[in-house]
Amino acid sequence: MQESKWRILIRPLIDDNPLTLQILGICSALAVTTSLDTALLMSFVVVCVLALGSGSVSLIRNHLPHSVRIIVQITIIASLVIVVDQVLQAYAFELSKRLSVFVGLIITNCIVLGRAEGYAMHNGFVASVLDGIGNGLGYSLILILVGAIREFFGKGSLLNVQILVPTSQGGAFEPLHLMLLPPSAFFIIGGIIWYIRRKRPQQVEKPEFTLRQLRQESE
Amino acid sequence: MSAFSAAAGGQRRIRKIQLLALLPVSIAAVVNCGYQYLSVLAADPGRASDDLRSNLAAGLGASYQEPGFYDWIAAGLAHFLPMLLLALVIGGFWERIIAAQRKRALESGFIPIALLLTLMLPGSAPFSHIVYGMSFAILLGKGIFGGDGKTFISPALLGVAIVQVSFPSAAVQHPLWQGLAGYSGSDAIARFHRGGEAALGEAGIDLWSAFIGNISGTLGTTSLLAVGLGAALLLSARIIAWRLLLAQFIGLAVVATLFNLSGSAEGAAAMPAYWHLLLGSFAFGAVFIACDPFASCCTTPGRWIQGFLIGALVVLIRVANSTHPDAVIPAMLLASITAPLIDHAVIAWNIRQRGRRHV
Repeated sequence: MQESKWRILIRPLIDDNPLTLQILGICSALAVTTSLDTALLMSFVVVCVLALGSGSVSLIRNHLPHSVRIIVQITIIASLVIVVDQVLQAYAFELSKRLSVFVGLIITNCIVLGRAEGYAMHNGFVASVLDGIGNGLGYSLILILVGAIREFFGKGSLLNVQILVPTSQGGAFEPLHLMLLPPSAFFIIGGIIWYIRRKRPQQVEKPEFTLRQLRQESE
Repeated sequence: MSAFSAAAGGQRRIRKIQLLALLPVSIAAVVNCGYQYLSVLAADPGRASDDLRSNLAAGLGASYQEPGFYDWIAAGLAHFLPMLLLALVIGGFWERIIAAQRKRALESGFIPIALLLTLMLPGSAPFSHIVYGMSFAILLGKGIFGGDGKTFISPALLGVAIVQVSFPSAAVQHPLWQGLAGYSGSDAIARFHRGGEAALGEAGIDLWSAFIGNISGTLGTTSLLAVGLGAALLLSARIIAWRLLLAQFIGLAVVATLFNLSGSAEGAAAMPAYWHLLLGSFAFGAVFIACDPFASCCTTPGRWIQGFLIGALVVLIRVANSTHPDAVIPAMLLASITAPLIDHAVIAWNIRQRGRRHV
């Protein structure tokens, strides 16, 4: 079934979100979301890498020997990541230092390889690029949401602009240190997944086990 | 329906006895809380602050000049009751919502959770922390796992741990008595860390006062006597497993003794096992948190292993990490998430042994 181009772009935002439905790329989502600006930058970088990576893989998909395809995909993705890393270091040095290893680790971000292997290997160039952008945007959506929540409750600021005055400076807002620790991203992403699946019950997985009914004691 | 109500009936019995066992602890908490509050106030009357609890204490007529039994109880109740009421209201609020969403009857498990949470916080814990901790305890500790009896860690423990992690500045003062805003004392274990037994003597802490709980600390955890009474009741009702309880004391004693015997024993490493038991909230945690019948190991060897692990971890964290003077919360959190693993291993081992026996 041929999907419309628009559907390909829109579908990964909520219906097939890489983070909340495919559960890919969780590690980076925990690491870079302590503040909104790093989350934004990471989102931008991942969208670029995903679109270019999926597009490149799609272009050469018919010439790839099946047995070495993963190696070639990784090589393409790694080259793209290195280029992006260099660009970041040239134009946004401070932020790139704060993102530190996580830009390099986009190579291992499951979303990028997952889309290359799962979609770009079987679809045309335009569709693959759109799918890459769509998945990147779906990832970004969650990342920005989590980053905003964590920065707001953890520091009382958004994009480094102080909104609530913390108690240490005489205000009434008590920063939640928990929000600056990785587990909070787990809680928040868990909450988002719960909310999405509540609104779209078709995403709910079938239970692997069912609780056995308790035997009646009064028999 | 009757199948569920039979299980719920068992839980209701457990809950009643748990509450009864917490009664001596609560009484000790009220008396000691009032005593500590008034003695701080007597030493420095200028510290009287203008919050709800202090005003309530004054309104009940608790006087710091020559305080008697009535004054202690009045001041203690002025601190304890608002905290407990708030925790109950918040817990009941979330339980109502969960019950309505799941179309089930209201569960009453939040009542002992609220009491435990209150008893593990200092008498001056900000109300916002109670709201926050109680919400986490009910929602994340119990609600999402399916409610009463399906928890895998004690919800009250989770609530207190979340408060400690979220507000590290408060957690530093957490084991201290700070019934008055800005009052900074030093926790008994931290004292021992710095100056050994002599430092305890300076603060007026001897074996007897630590035993009856007449020292500063979180509300319900100071009195070994009260905890012991509660433990006796729980043990005689067979709600907590005596092996698990005993194994914790053994683990504590063994590891503390090992540290004492090690060459360069100083700070908390030189703390003898009986002080480990008397100071901090180990005894309280061991009886009411670690032995939570729903969240601890349920195989006999598993109970020995988990109990020993808890006792050992408490001493280890106390000695190794001076930022957690009272290591009970992290140690019990760590140990309780191992319970399913230990049980699984014990059962798998048992199956293998039996398989070998009947080839």
